[in-house]
Amino acid sequence: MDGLLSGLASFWATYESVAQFVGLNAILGLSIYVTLAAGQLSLGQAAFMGVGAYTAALLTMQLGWPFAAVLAAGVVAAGLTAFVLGVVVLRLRGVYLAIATLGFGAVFGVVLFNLPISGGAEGLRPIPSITTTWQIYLALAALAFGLWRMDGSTFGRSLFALRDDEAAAASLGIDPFRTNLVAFVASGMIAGLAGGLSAHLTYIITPGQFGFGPALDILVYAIVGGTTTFLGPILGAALLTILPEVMRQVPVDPGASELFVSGLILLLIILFLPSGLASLVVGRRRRSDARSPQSPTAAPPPSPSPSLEPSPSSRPQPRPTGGSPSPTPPAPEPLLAIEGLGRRFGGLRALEGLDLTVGPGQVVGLIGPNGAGKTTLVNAVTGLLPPSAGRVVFAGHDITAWPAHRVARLGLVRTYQNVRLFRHLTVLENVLVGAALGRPGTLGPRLVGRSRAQEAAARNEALGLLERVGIAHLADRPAGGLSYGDRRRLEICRALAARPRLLVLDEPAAGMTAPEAARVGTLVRELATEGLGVLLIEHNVGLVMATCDRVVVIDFGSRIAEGVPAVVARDPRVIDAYLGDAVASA
Amino acid sequence: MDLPQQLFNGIFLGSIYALFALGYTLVFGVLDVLNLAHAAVFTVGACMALVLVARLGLPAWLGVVGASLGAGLLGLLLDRVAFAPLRGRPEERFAGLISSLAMASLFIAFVQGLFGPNAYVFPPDAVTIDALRIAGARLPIVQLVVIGVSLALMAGLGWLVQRTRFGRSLRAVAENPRAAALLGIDVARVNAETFFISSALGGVAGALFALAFDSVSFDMGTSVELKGLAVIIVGGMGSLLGAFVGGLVLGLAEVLAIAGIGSTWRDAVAFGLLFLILIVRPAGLFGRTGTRRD
Repeated sequence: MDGLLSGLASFWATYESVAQFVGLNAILGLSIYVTLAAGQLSLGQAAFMGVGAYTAALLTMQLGWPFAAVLAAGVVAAGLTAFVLGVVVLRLRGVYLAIATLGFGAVFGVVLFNLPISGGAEGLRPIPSITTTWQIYLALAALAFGLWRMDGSTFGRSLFALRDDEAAAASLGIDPFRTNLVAFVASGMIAGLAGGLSAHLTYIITPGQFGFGPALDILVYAIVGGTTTFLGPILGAALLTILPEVMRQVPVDPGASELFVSGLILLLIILFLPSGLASLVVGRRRRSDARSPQSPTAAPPPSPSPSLEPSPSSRPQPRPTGGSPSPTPPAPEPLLAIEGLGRRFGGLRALEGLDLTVGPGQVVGLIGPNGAGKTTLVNAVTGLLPPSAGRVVFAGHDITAWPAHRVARLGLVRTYQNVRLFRHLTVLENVLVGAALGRPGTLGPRLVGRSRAQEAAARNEALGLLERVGIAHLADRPAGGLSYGDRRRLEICRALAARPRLLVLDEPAAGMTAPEAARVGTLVRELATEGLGVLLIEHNVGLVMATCDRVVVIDFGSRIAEGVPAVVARDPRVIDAYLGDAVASA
Repeated sequence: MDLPQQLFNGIFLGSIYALFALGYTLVFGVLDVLNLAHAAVFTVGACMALVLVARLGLPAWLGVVGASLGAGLLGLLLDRVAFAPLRGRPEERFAGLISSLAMASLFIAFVQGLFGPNAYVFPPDAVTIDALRIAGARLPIVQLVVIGVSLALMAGLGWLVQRTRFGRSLRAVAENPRAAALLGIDVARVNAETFFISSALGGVAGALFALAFDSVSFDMGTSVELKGLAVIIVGGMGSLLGAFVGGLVLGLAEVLAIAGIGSTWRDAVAFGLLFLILIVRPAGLFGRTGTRRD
């Protein structure tokens, strides 16, 4: 027994520092996870770590602040740095963002080399060794808990939604810039914490510890581990930190063999296990809160009757946006009024002088031949594409050229002609992303364990909506694997979850069978009865005729006819431009 | 040091940056992925030149040619192992970034395993140490040759892309790989050829760099790697002309900055320029404003 204990003690004495670096690297892996979850590749993590490390070390060495205070100061300094950098670079995407953050890291390194206070190439020393193993693991545990709660929260889902499809996320009220900035600052703060902890462990810090190589290492931890759950970066950091220790036993140049093995692992992972090591551990089951054991069967089976839907009078008003008061629109005024809308692409006039109104409870059809400008109109109204002329008024607000997320928050929600789902989220999670619009977020409540009722309500409502469009049985499937018709229905369902006042459906029945299309028509009529305005763009003339109160026909970007379906269908200009074949064959 | 000398030094440095960045930007322009193994190929090219010249006693020009061929083959390997298997994945660009990073580690690990951590020099008679004197500036022949070779290769690449049948398929793939495939272009082959050319240019850049500075080490790619990224951002991602102009701009800016504010701030110049461009004109000096349609 004594032998075992002393054996353990000597083992620990040998390997405690390995354990410490596993913990620190896991924290760093988590820091980049937050931005990767939103689909943004930041290579500035090593520099944020450096900001935290230098801030904390300087405060310890020069002012003798207590450890907790220097750590906090390092976190704040790194967060501020990330904020300032984020405001500048988060307009960029993909490799541009990666290179910009890398560039920031390089500039940071040059600054460290040149400032007298950071000790130049010599770095700072001696930094008292204060950090203990349990402190590192306490920090790691707290972060892991926070990110575990984040993964299933509204905020976490909005990050995953942005990663899958930024435009679709914005169309559901998620502000891409703001959300990315929050994630970026959080990731900077986490890296800053790792910096403060590591500075008080290693006795000396030099600029090289926060350069290009370490920046890539942090990325590698996250990729090898996987970025679909917070467990991934922890696993990746553990493997890649422990492995070199094992490699020491092999009699090859340690630098080369370490590089070789980590490169080989990275290559094998990216080729054969794209979701990382974590996918071996948790498989496809992740973010399990959307279907925690108590749900969804335990939930009262929602009936497909319209009574589940809020009635028009009880429909909650969307939050006032931008601080301006939201006036109740006078009764005769249309919900949506488009006046003289124009959009040019170079010399091409895709839209010109277009007028269109939709009232509450009204279904207005928008038809026209291919290339007439229908989708351009939708994009110009919903903020995807600023119009070059004209005005769009919705619910009493001039929303001309508003960004997509603000338009959505006001209650104007759309679907896409080429269906844009969050393909890595489940069907239910897709709907929950929509349902989050205008509701309080769940991250805070989840952190303190008070989110159950709120989440159950959201889940039940989402399941009710799925029931209503007929795909509730698919709730736990990943959205990317649905059939075409089901994807369209899910997209409508997701838009409805955002509780719009006006729904814009861009060819909702495209590719559907006749019975499926008819179901969409029935649903649209039901929604209108509940007071929802609908702008329906559709090629299926039968559906348009059966569903719409009024039809607007456009060709070459201008309105050529408008009226009740039966009259429009007989208008010679319309038949000429568009309906000829369809009517003949109908 | 006087101004003509500074300008010459800047152009020399810039032509190496440009040659290196040309390979980066070619792959990005055609395949829309960033090949992070390019700097490793640069290093391997330098090592190949070293082996051919110092160990086998070949003349320097043959060393450069050999390095370019060897590096081109590495490019084919890169395409086959790190990029082709990922094609068609939803997150292809991101995955390609990572897999090329992995390949870079493997290449550098090999170099480090073979050569160890030391820096190597070429035999003293490998290249001439003569120099011209013009307007008070000293113009070493080696550096003049490097500038000339860089210019010739860039002009050749421009001709290849703009004027040949291969160049036309290359531009078609760059514009829209799916449509190119439908029109009968062998996209996989164009991709492989792009990697061969890109890596061959990277290898030449490495060999010339090594000969001009008379130094080869396993970590020589690190500094050009970041500079190359800055160059292609400044010039505009995917633009060959941009890589050329961006390289010269960076080379001149660095040399003048060293003279102006001191050498310790030199590396900040590239990234200061990079940030400026990203903020003012994210598409770069010669970048395409449109994005590729998939």
